[in-house]
Amino acid sequence: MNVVIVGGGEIGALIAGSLHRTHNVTVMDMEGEREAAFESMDVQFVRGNGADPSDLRVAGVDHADAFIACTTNDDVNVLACLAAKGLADVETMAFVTRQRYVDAFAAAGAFETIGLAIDRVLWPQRTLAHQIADIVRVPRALATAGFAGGRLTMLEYRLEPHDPFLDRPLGQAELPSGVLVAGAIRADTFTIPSGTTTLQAGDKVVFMGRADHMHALERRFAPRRRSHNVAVVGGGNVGFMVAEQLAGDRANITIIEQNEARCEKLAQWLPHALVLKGDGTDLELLQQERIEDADVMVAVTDDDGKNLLVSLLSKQLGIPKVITRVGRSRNRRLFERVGIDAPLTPRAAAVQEVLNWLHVDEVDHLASIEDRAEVMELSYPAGCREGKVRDIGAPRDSLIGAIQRDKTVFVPHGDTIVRPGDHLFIVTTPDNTGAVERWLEARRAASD
Amino acid sequence: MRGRFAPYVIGTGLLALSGVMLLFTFYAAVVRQPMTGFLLSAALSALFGAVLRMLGSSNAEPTRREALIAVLVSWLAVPAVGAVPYAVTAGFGPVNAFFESMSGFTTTGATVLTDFAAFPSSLFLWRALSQWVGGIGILVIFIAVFPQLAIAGRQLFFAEAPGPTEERLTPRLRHTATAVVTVYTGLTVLCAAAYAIAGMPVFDSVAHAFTTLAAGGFSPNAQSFQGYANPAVDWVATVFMLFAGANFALLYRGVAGRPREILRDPEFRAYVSIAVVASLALTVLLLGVYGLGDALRHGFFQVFSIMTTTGYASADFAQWPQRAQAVLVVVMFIGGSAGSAGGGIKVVRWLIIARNTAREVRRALHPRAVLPVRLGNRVVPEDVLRSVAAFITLYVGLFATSTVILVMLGADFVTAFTASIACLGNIGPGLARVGPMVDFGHLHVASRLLLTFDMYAGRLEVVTVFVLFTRGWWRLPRRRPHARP
Repeated sequence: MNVVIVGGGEIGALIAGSLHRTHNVTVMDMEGEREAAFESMDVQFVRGNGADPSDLRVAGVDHADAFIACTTNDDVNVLACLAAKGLADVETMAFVTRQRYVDAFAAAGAFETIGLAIDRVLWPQRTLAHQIADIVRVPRALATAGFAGGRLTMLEYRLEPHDPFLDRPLGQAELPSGVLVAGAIRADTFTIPSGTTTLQAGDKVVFMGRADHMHALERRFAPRRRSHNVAVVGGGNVGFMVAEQLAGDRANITIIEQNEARCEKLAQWLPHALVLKGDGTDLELLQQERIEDADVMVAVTDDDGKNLLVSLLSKQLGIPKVITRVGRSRNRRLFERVGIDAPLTPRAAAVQEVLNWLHVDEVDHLASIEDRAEVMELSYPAGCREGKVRDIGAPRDSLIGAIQRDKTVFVPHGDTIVRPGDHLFIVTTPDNTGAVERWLEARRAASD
Repeated sequence: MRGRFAPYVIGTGLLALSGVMLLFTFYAAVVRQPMTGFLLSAALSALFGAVLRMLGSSNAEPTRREALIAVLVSWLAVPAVGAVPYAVTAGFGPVNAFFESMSGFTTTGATVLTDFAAFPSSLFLWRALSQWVGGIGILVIFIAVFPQLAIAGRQLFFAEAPGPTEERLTPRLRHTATAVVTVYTGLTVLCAAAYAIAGMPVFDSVAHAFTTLAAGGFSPNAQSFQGYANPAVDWVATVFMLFAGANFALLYRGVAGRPREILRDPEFRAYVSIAVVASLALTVLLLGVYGLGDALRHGFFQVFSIMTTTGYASADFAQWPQRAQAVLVVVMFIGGSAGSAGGGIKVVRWLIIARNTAREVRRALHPRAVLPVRLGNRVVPEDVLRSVAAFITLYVGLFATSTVILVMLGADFVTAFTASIACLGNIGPGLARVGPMVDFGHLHVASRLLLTFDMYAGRLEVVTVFVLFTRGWWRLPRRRPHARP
């Protein structure tokens, strides 16, 4: 597939990094010095203006299958998509950062005028806000993801000393039915567990299971079903959207924001939230407002340093769950190193959406677990021989986490029979995704 | 074109009055009643009206000061000329005639009339119509003029949900004003028909319909609604008083296809809730006096009558137990909705004050919180909060001062207290010696003049009138040579 990416910033690099091994990627940017970021990749770098049709021709838009505009300028992104659509029959996607663009595209009548030119508008901050709200809703969970139209759920927990499933082989653990352990992270390494793996306190564990069975798991970890008190530091777009989404859950939301004018707007838009004007790192304010009683702290200012400080302070105050926004992807590992449970970047979430949108090779890269593991959706090719899970020879370091057959989703065990046409949800490490794809390719070849 | 807007408006008002007076002259001639009063009034208003209108100009761009002058003077000039028939035909002295006329145009309903039998029917009809006309006048001022001038927080009450505002102001105002007058007229017609069907004589039905929708309260019957001894009529009146105390602009939106807006409106909800709770409380307190059916009827009728500032009486409530009277005194201070012809402080202002108080209490707990005062989906701006607070302070201050002066001039305390609030709130009857079955004529002449001023000030939202007592008002704008660009 030929992919043209306009914008060689962080998002552009992340997308190119995920695609360059398997696709023909061209990156275009106004600034030549950005080329350095792409030198280690197999991509073509073109210097030029993404909104200029002749420059786009040079980048090869005429032969492109997909066009992604992800500069930091919304106007350029929109113009670039319009220009690309005018030049060739190409799928276009525009990144935007401001509410008014999203509203404009969502408005009635927008479809007739511009909707055809831009196939997809992506607002990374909103994607992040959705992600955060989902995590807040499940008490103690550090990450959540839903697949197969919401029928399959993935949850990540950090195990505490009093938690279930500890200190015995997983084969003997009494997991709720329809739920399996898809992975465990201990000391920065991800392992796909087997029946003999033993979980310890401090491990982060990823569970996968049918959505309707996950409630049993959630209750094992947190008998209280809801997060009642949510504190949000930073009332920007992300903070506002998180609060807006949680408002329907009857949670007590407290937002701390420094800018007075912004506070007034927030107080106007969010009648059920308590808006405090102040600094999230002001310990006196946090104590006065009893922020330590919050069930969740969401640190989503624009400043990574402040988010880190607020998060560490919150952990120290004893808030059980802390969700932290990380603006720069490379800070993420750093945050994890100092003990931040759930560092989330809007860009990573957005890149994931791009990959899903592209539908690469009928393989969906559904989600990545802290960059250490991936969930892929593949169909077991028609014509393959059916066989038991333990017999079909899936590659090492991979696990069939769930199978979708027609409309039903279930969690397999070793004796489950895989049939042609089944959709397999496979958990594996990022280095191994190629092996999984090759394995499936081999199965298909063997059956021909 | 400075200084020519006010004369135009006042002149137009007087010319309109002269037209009405001519009609009444004909009516009096047809029913063979004395017509000199009406004729004189028509002549006077035509003369002054024509002169003022010639001095004025319609396309003058009014300044704030001029708009205020137009309102303040119109509301004095029209009642003054409208008082002529009372003086000429019924033989009232000038103070009493002006009191009665002011009580009419301000939709108050307080009267100095003692001998109802000697009063010709044409004059009863004029009295009722003056309230109806006063109702239209005040609705237009409340909905079109005062919001523009940001008086007593009114800029907020009629602002529709925020949206694109490229539409020019004038057409929208004209549209709203037309709509409101349409609803007002339509409800008046329905009300008259309903009274007649319920068994009231046709003349009385029409006279009462005029004063019901205006939240006025004049009745051609000396005993007000008690005189008909007809429960059906009382209930019809209760229902139409409920409408009369609501926001007419809101009612119009409801009729024009958005009925849910009525139920969602915070002021309407509070208005109905307060009225119903007070009615039920009064009903319970009246159970010792009446049976359940009558207690309910009098309870609802009297609370709606007093709260909407209409002032009808289905019974002589001045004779009721004190506990029951206390409920009526409380609702005297509440008033109807901001977009009705009723007077008083108005429900929406109490709502704003209540929310503001709740906010201050909450702020004690969260000193750093940003807490907007909300009314429905909208946030009440701080300047509106200030205006409303100032309005209530001024209102209560004027009420207290008036009470004290009335007591000094020889009235007993309950009479003075209720006469002041009844006139300032444009309600009409009070308690004790100004109860529904007695009149204001026995009060000291200075008291009657003061109460006339109370009616006038209360009608024009107090703040407007008190502008006259500021030094800045009387400092004339200095004429400067215009620098031409």
